[in-house]
Amino acid sequence: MNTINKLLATTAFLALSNSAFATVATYNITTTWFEPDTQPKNTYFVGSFNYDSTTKTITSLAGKLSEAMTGSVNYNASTGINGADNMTWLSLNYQLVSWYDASLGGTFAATFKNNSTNTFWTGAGGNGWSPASGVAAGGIYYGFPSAGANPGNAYALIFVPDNPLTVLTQAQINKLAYADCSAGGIMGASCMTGTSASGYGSVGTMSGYPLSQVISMTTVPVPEPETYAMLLLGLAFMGLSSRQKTLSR
Amino acid sequence: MPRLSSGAVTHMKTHSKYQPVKLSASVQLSVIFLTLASSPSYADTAEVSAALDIPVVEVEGVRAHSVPLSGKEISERDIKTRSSTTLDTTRLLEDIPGLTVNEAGAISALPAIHGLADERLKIQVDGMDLSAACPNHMNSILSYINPVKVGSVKAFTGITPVSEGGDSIGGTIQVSSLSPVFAEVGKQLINGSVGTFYRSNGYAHGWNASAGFATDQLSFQYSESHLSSSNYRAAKNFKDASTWAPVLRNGLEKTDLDEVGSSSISGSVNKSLDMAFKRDGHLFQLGISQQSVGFEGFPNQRMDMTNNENTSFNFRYTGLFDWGDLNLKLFRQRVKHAMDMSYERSYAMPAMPMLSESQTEGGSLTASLPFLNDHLFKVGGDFKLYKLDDWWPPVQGMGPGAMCCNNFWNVRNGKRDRVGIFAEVESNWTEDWVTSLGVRTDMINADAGKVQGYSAGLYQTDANTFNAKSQGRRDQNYDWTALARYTPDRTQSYELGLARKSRSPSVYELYPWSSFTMAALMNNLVGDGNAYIGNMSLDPEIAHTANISADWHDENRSVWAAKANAYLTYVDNYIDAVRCTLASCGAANTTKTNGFVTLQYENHAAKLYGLDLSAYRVLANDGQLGQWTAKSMIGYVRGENTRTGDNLYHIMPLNGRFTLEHKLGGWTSQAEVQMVSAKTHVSAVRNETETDGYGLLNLRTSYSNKFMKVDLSLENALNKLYYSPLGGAYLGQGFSMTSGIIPWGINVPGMGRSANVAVTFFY
Repeated sequence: MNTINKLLATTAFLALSNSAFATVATYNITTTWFEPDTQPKNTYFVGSFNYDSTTKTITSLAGKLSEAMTGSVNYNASTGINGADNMTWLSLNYQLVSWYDASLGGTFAATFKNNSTNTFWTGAGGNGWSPASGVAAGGIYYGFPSAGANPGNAYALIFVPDNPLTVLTQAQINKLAYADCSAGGIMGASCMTGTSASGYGSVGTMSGYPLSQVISMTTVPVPEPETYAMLLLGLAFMGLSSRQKTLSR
Repeated sequence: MPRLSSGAVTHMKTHSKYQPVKLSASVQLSVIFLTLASSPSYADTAEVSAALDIPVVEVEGVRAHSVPLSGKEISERDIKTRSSTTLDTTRLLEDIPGLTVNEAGAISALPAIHGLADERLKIQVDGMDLSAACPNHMNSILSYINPVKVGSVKAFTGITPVSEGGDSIGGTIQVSSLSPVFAEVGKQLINGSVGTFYRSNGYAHGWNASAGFATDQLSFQYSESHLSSSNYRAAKNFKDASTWAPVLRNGLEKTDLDEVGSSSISGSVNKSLDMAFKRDGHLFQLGISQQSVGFEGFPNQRMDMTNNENTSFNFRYTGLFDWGDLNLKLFRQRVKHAMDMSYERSYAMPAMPMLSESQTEGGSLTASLPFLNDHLFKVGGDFKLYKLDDWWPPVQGMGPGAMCCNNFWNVRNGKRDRVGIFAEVESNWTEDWVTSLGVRTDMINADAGKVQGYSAGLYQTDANTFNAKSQGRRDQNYDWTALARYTPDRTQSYELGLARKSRSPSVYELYPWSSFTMAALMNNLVGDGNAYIGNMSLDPEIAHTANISADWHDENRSVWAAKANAYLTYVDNYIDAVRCTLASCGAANTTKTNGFVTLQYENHAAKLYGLDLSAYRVLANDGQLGQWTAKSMIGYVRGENTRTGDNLYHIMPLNGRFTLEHKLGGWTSQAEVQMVSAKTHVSAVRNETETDGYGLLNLRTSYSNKFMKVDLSLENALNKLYYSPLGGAYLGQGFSMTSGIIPWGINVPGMGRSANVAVTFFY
């Protein structure tokens, strides 16, 4: 009987659960940096992340970053990555840094191409990846002067307001940044970057700067009638098997 | 008072009106151009006479005009007062009315005549009709001759006779080396010089030496010069620390707030061997010159010259015959040129290597034939074959993208071949009237090969568009000039000139093809910081010019003289620029007013007009106190695009030079005030920035005798911070491959106070 009770309780919880009660949710994100020198193409980060509204933490930030110096047609959101555009896209699957910024009222997170934050030359100081250290290093790649030592890293730094679905203020947009030190994003020893003069003291190495960011909630699937039917069937089956076990004693 | 026409200087046989003359302060030749002007080193009858040892007849009269009234010739003496402390030969031209200087690198400034600059002019060095071989014209024509080697400068600023022009609409500048010297019969001559100079601003320094050996028929002259300089400094801080903070990154070489980045030069070496042989009225000259520059910064360009090697062979022949005279010139020049960025622009090298190689072969043949005693018929032809490759190697260690993995071909197998013929008649109708009429035609064939970018994708659309078109083209241009001079008496002359002149577009106006900002920013001939795309559909520029000159003076020109020159030029198909409307140039490109933009060359129409005034007066001439002379020169030019109503770019506003000169024995001293008014007529399409007016004081003194020469000067003596209207945009530091990092709206400042000294010894 205990088993049945546990089962019923679990089932009830499952049946009643919906997002309104969850603290972790999945969101889609598209961040755009305007690239005056590679028009009509811009740099886009298109990805997703999980956000815990209780702890205000971002996890599993991952997505793709476009290389505006490749291809000739700009990204079109309605047709998706490489739907209309012919740019190269880098996969950024390693969320290695994230922090909460109380003054801006939100959480930063950066996802990298490599499982390492080593992006920029550290000869000018800095931590080797932050936008500020990138500006100080003139965007020069990590491992300079040995081209072979360049790990070819890339990242996108995004910002999630306390309420992820609110529109970003200009001050928040100013802090968005990307870097691309991979083959298609490098000019000589300089990585292609996107930063704002207001946020970091300089625009990016190809004059790119953050333009906008759109966050939308991942659509939560609503269970269909057959799902409930299966659930009831399963419960009936479990109840039946439990009853069989009791009877067999 | 005999009047002598310009004429063939015959050997031991003279036409009644074509006798060789030694020009003294009192010879009046009723001529417009001298016979041998087609050989710049020998454009002056007296020079040829001296070189060929022809008996000289001294005649009282005024000095001959070897250029029209509207032009000017600078004598060797005047050149020498400046050349020792000057890095750039173009600076020697600043005393020519109507001539201004567009700033560039330390030795590569570009002259402009009446608002028309660079390739709109015909610029010759020792008769060689050269062209730059660089998408920024860094190896400009006058950068190939060191100032200390210059012996004469001629500028045809108003109407250029067809024998001196062709394929140019703005005038002609002829810079020539010192003439060869020969020993007296039966003797030998050994001469030489060694000199050094120092300029305090930028610690510029250099040395030069020459050695010569000559008999009465042979002359050998070897000369060599070296110079280098650090960045120069403006009079005061011109960089706002907060504006420049993003640029002054830790990764870049530090510059002070008054330091003009990328303005240094090092490893600049000129070597030349000049040989001459003369016999019986024939003069043969062979010049071999080599020039190399290790590094030359360009504060108004996005790149710097990291290497330039130029080798030229130049053969000239002048023959004097009973029937007239003959001039033949043949030359060949090869240039290897490299660009990249200074460490003030990029911490990492190579940042963006760019290479070009060019070969120019040219020559001319001119015959001058006196007839009917009062007329001179000149007929001849010239040619110039120019080949250019301009490519940018990929930077290794990268994958396909902006700068990998193929050569970027900016101009591949570029070609511009010109062949021209001309005929000209100078006529002395009466004692008072002289005319010159000339016609010429030039055929210009230009072509270029197919192109590619560093990689497909980013560059492919533009490359496909370019490659789908036919690059070959042919222009047949026709020019004429008509000039009349009226000299009613020995104190005044008036000259009216009319001309039609043509210029076909250059390789760098036709063929640069990429609209990708980084690539287009590298194609810029004018130092405005903008990006330029070529246009294969350009038509030749055709200029119609009217020029009127007047010259008043006392009989012997020993007390005073004043000259006025007014001109009006309409240029059909004037090659101006329009904002690029391609998607790749961005939607904001057409409306931006406060930043660097992408432009494409396009034929429009233009009108230029202005006035040159120059005068001198001897204030006192006392044997003990020396001679005091006041000199003045005022210039004004307006340039408008009549199609768009815009102003033309880089037009000098009202300006003047006022000089007090003192001469006593071997001393020549000058106090010069240069005044320039504000530049408010600016080119909107280029987002040209205005400049304020200013005044500068320059002090110079020079002492020379048979064995030595000492020059001292204090330039910008009051240490005034100023911005030349023709200085261009300041781009001397910061990552320059992109349009948005270097702050826009700052002009290149002029040099702050500089004390210069030069010492030269002769033997």
